Amino acid sequence: MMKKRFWENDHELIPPIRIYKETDRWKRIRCDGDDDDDEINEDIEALYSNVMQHVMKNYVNLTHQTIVDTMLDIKCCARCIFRFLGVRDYKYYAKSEEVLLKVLNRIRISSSTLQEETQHPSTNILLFKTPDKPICLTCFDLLYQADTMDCLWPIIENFNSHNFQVNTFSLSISLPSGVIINNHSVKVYIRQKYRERNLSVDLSNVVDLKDPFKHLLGWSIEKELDLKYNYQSPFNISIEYYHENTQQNHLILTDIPSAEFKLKKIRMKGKAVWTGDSRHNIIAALEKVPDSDFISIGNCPPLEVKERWKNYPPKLEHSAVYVGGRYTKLSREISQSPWIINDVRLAKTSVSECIGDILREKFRCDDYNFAGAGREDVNVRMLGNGRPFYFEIINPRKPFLSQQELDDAQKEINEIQKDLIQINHLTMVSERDLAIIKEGEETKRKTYSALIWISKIVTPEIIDKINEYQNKELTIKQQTPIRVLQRRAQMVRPKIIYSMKAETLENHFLTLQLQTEAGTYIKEFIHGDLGRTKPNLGDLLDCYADIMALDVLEVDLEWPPNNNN
Amino acid sequence: MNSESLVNPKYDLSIYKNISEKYEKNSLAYLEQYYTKNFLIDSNENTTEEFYIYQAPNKLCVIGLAPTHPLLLQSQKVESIKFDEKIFQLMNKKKQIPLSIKSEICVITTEEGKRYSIKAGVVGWVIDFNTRLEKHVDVLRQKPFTDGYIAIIKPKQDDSRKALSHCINEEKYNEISKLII
Repeated sequence: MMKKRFWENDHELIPPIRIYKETDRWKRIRCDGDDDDDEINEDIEALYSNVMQHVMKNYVNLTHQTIVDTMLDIKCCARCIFRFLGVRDYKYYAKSEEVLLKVLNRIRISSSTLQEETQHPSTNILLFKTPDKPICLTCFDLLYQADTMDCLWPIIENFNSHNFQVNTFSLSISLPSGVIINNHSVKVYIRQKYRERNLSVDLSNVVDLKDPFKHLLGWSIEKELDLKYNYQSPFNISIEYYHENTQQNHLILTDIPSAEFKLKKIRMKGKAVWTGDSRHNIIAALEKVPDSDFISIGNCPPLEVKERWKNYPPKLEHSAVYVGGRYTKLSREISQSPWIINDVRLAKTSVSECIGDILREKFRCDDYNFAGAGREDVNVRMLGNGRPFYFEIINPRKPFLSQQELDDAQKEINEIQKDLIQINHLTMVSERDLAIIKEGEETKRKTYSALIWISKIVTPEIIDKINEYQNKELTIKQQTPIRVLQRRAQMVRPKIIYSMKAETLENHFLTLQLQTEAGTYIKEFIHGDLGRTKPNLGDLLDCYADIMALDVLEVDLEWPPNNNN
Repeated sequence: MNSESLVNPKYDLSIYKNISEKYEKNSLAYLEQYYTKNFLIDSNENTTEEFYIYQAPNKLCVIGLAPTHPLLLQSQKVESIKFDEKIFQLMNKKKQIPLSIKSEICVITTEEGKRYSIKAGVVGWVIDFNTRLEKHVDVLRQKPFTDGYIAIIKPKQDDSRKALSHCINEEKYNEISKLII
């Protein structure tokens, strides 16, 4: 098996230059489409009543006010407070922190006897510039920064340096595990505040961090990269975030008996690895823990954090695309796929490489896989209209080539490889078309031309003897040939030779054209494979026979499919 | 290549002149294209049981009677050929202990009542017996080097030189066999 290649390993990437000023990293991209100027005139009262329609669904009797106060006390970001209020219309999250805090203060006033102009004491500190603002305990500023260049740049950088030519994208996000414990801790803390006032609260409607985060990040990508967000898109942006300070926090669960949280130490590739701390297991364990147990052992409210979120390099990947066509192989020295045993090349190149290495540059893909409708040996030529094939193009940066571009690529391949191979009908094909190739390998008739030596002098009688089968089927029984017996199970396979036609050349030589059932071993039919193919040509002519040269003339399969129909 | 030669290829026979000359001298010469010929001469015991071991490029070994085997030298008619039942039944099953060079894999009895033991000849596993011989015993005598082979053995040792180090090549065999005949 050859090692998988990556585009960037043998091509130079040109990363984009960051034109943004340092201070712009903090600035929000207005992914809801509004201008900053509009916000100054934002109708807080209207916004408040809209948001309250969401809140009232989740919290009756105005109990939500304590949530706002409690979370402002511990300096959570406004967006996280919106999450805890159960706001599921994510367009509100795109508003500026200033507007969101105004709405939150408005919510506090509405349900208390406070003076109208009194805002929560944390409001001002929360409006500091990002570097000076306390870091949110429930999102490590991830949600707070979801629509900023800080969050977006790693994606833009990767996207532009690889120059992906796509119109849509889907998103896969992995959040720091510390988020789970801290969100739980804040919930416990809020419930405790309610209990102090002999009240109770149902926090089951708190919105998961991932939902608004994904929306804000997705909208920002749409705006900055001019793409459409579509969860079914074949182009996926995957990014994993982490937070060093809190990534071990879930280990407190091992000290809480009611959590029934056990880690297992297993050995993987000689290394000791702890397992059992999947997100799913952590969440399930937390559900079992009574608040009182959590308060006595965990940190409630969570400890202050001094560092923001970080991310691993994002992975941008397009799912495979397929391109099909037919090839003729004109050389008896190249194999169909790379022929390498124990790191030694046994054929100088291959059909797969002759075509694939050029397609790789066109699609700018990591790697490719070749598949043909059957195969021929190295010393066998593939002539006629060629053998159907397709390429699986792995992670293409340019996932679609127009027919004109494909025609040009085909011309280029044919020019460069003119002594070895030629291709025709190069076309984009869909994944469901691929079954046709497999079927062709197993069911379709093949036509061959062979140069044959026999131990007798070729006479008209011998030619006539063979030509008896020109319009008459001959069924042969083939035991697995010795040359493939090391990898293919011993078995007797009956095969039909549909027609044979011989022409005399000179002395011991004749040419034979034959049409056979898929899977017939032609060489073995000629020389008999020590009697393992019966009858063989030698048996029919009562002499020894050997094959000097073999060519495939036709693979009877319509390919590539005509998608215009 | 023009389109006519793509559907009706012409072959340049001059390339095959040498091969043809060789083949005309010996109609079995074609086997050299597919196998490396080795011979095993049993000189330890007071027998002259001699085998060929043809090795294919995929390392598999075909074993059969060498031209100097008494059965062929004296053209004895074969009465029966019996493959070792235990080996036959366990053939191609996983985790088999490999046979040794001296392991008996089959017994040939002639019409005159002579009994010849056939050995594995190479350390490895029998992966196929030529069971067609059971019904057509005379093929063994008529076509000993092709249809009359006895078994196909997969050597345990991957390195062919080591696997067949106890064998001699064709050249040496021809020298020795001249002495015998």
